[in-house]
Amino acid sequence: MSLWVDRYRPKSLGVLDYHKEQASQLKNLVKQGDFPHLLVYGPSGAGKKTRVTCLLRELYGPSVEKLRMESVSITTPSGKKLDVKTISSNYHIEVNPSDAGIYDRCVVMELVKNAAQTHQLDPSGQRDFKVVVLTEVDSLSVDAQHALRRTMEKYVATCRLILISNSTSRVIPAIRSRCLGVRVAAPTSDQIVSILQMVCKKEGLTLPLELAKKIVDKSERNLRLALLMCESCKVQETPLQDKQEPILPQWQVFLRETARTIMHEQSPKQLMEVRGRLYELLCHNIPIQMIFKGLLKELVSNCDMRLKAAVVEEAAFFEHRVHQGNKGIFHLEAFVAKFMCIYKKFMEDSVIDMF
Amino acid sequence: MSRDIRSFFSVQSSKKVSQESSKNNAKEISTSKSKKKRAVIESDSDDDIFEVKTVTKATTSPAVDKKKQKVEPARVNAVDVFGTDSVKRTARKSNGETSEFHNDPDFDQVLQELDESQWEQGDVSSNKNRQISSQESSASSSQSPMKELGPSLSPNKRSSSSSSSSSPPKVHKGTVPEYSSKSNEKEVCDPPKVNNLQTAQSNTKRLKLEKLNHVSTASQSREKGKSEIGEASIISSKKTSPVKTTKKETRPVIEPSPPSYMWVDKYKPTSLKQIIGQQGDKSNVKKLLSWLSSWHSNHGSGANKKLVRPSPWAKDDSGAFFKAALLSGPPGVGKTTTAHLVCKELGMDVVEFNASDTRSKKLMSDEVGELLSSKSLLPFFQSGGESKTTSKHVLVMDEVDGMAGNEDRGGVAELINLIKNSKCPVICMCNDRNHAKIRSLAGYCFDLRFYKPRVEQIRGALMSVCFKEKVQISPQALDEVIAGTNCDIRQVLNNLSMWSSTQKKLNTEQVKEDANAAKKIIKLGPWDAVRKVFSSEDHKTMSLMDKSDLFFHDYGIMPLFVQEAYLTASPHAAKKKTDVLHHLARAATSISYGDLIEKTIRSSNSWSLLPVQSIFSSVVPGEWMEGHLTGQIQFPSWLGKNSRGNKMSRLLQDLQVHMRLSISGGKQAVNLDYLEPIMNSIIRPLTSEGAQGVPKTLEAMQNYYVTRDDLDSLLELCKWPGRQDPMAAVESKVKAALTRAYNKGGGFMTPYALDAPIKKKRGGAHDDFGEGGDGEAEAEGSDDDESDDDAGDAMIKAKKTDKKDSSGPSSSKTTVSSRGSRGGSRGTGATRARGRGRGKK
Repeated sequence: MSLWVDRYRPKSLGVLDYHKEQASQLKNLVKQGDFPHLLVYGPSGAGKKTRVTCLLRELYGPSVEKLRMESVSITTPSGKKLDVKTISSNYHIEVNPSDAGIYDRCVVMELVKNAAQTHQLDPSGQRDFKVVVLTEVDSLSVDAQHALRRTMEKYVATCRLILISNSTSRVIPAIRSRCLGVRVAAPTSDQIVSILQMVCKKEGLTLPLELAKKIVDKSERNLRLALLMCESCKVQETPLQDKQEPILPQWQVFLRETARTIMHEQSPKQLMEVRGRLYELLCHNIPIQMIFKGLLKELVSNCDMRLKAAVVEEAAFFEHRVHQGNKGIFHLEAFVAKFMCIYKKFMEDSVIDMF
Repeated sequence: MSRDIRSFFSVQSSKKVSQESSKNNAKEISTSKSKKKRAVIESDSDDDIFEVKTVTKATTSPAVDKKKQKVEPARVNAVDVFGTDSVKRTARKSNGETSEFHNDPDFDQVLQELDESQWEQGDVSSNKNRQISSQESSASSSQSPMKELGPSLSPNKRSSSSSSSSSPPKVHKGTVPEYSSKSNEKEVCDPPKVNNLQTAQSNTKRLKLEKLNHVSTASQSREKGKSEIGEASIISSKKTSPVKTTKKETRPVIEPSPPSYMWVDKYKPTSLKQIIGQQGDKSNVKKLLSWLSSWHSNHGSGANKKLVRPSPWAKDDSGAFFKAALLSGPPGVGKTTTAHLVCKELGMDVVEFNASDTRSKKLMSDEVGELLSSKSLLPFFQSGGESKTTSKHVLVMDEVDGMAGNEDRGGVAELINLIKNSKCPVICMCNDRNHAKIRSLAGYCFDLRFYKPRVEQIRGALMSVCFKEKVQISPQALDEVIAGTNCDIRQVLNNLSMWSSTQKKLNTEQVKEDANAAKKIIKLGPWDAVRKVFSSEDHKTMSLMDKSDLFFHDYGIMPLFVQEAYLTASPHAAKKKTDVLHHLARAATSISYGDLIEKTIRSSNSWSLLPVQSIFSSVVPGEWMEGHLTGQIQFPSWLGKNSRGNKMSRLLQDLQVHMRLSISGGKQAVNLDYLEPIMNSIIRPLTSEGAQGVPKTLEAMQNYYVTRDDLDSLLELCKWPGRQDPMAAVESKVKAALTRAYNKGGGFMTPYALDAPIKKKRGGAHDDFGEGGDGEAEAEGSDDDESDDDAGDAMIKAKKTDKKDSSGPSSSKTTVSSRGSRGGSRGTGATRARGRGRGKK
């Protein structure tokens, strides 16, 4: 018995719950036969991969769902051997090049080329091209993206690329211009509520509207997270109650506590403790942008109006530095130190003003 | 000495030196002596010599000179090589230009020197003389025995004898033989001894010769050629008279302290009390002394005391338990001196091995053993035949940390062995006690650590040295020198002797400058460097460059150390709490900027930016947080956290790949969204229903293709500080049930090959599950993917059953299965087969 989120995932373009217009457009695209490279982007939990799976099914029929996992070994120019896990059907291959770390360029060059160079074996297949799905293109290095450029044009007869990323900002313009961009926006709150209720109905439960809204709110319009939360609510208490508080993922709870620690006291000793907590978050591979975002949200909400702008500015300043630098913790810590400084000063000044 | 010369000159001034035929010999002799003579001159002040004005110079007839040149053209050439001056001079002399020399004080010196040295060394070179002279004339040959007796003659006698037949020397140098009245007396009473003394002197003077070369006066440059020749002739004369030389050489060696001109040796402590910084009752010297003196009663033959190993924290341990002592400390504090003096004090013989000896295992066992069992001959010589040998030896292993490489392979191990079986005390010495090589040795040794003496301790001793050497130096300047060498006594002495060689008066400014130039470049560890970065005390004396240099002690790790430590620094400049935070924020911002520079350096190889990084990563934070460190400096936690993060990332990736078929979403989505729901769906049945929940758990695992190993990484990924471990709530009984069920069901089919090269750690929490059969299950799962495995596994299973049948005991069976499982989870079919095979044996 898998989780709801997986059990009720739509399998074809026709049954998608939202962005129906886009779904029909994709359907037409498939029908026309002139299928371009795609760049599917949108926030996490919006249904990008679901949509791509549906699209593939539309292209090749249900047999595309017969997946197998393969381990492809690639030798880097320096002689290092890498194993990259791929998921493939007869018609497509899906790979996450960033699994190979700094060697993602080799993965792109070798694997994509190999896949693209061979023609479709099965003559009964409706299409004379194969699809290569590359996930997490955001984290693809610039080198690898450049390696993609030529491949995309050269093997266009045998192969189409579907790139999946969270944002186009980290995709080089050369790639962007070669692809048809498909933006999968996060579902609206109402859409999520209706989806949650539909799922609960299928499960034989009734979801109070109040709780559904709470879940939507907490999940930040991440449908996956919303469904998972909903399920954990069910586990927590059945039947579902209005008053129930959806459980946040632990990393979020931890992040909030960290923000509270910062608000609680401003001193070098406290900063030391905060540093330990930040390290813990980073160890758990929580993206540093998420940490910045989470902290800022929590800190700003507790700040005086006059401070907010300054705090946000500092956060933006140091978050930018994270991208320029190597060691995220340095910048994160500098932000916290700066905030402490600003906040403490403000608090003292306001105390003086009072008297 | 100067007085001697003067008095001598006064005696000699009226004398005329006769010329004689054997010029060649004479020249050789005289030149050989010039060196000695010069040394004499040097030790006196110049004024002394200039006072002597009554010296008469002998002139040589041009004819004689010409003859000499004819007879020995090679000699002249040789002179030419060393200095054209001397050749010129011979030429001049042949022209009879004696008056010129007369007025030249420098030349006076030369003459004196040559003359005296000739006499002094007559015996040394006489053999040679004899040989050469025999070819020339009978007159010269008759001269040589005279010369051998030479030293014993009084100057007067000698002059008379020389006038009669043989004697003096080389034409142009034919001056008065000068002899100090004092030495004459000696010579008369004990001729052979004087000879020895003189040769000893000549040796030491030869050393001084080099120094003298710096002073460039006309006379000295002229002299140079001659002195060199003289030296050559000494050597040749030694060769020709082996019997004599050996006799002479053995004696001076035995002589207790031939004056050495290196200050370090000259002012070496000769008694225990003179060792700097080792006077106290609890000093290392005292400890070593008591340890060594009681060694034979503790460990010697017949001693069967029960010795208890002292606790490593015991303070005043006498070290009786140990058979060896380990002296450790920085260079130049007197470890070797201490060891030698203590041995001397106790009358023990030292057998020393240092880094210049090969100390391999074989050599150690062979040679050292032999050495220690033999008796020293030294006392025979020292006490003039009195047979008083000591049977007590001490093996001194100096520079133990220098035992390295192939040469000394196994040296330390053998040393330990040797210590264990030693019949005599062993003293080892090293610089770094914590070195990996030494650590094993340290366990067998009485640990005596030498610390750098304080500046004040060194100052006193060095002031007295300076006084003795007539070097004028202010105590402040001396302090500078001492501090500059980081309290290395040996180096201070060396530096002082070097600086004072040109100038006896050292002014403070100059010395300060020199001390700075000679400052030992001390490589600080990052801990010390970081302390300095934040220390307001150190900042007072540091320039910006110095502060920046701190970063370069190890630019790779310093940014991390600074980042780790800056929070513990308490800035003195900040008065209020908000100020502290302000400083903190500025420091943090600077550190963050330093990181940007580091990234630029690394990504574009712009290493020229390193100084910029040093400013931002170290100097600026140091300035803002200038004060003192309130806590201990920790090793940068970034490194540990970073590698932990990488490990987590790897686990996550494996997990995502395994679950990929049933989930959408990449690694990040799994991390942020999926982890807990999946873990809960697996664990909750166990916590709520106990053993009844096991099937549900297994089903959940099956749905997501989560293996046992994945479950462990899942648990680790979900672990947060302050959160309860979800597995802790599960009873161990239930855990065991889960494992049994998991294994019994043969695991489940996975769409991926389990023999992936990624090795997962087994350990910690999941040990409760036991491991039996685990791998077997996995193997079956993966067999679907890899047909190769099938054959192997089938065979293994068949074998296994056979085995079971034949050798009953159940215990053996369990080991078989568990071992097999480990192999299975680890490797391919082949390795699995091997694993099981091993299990059966």
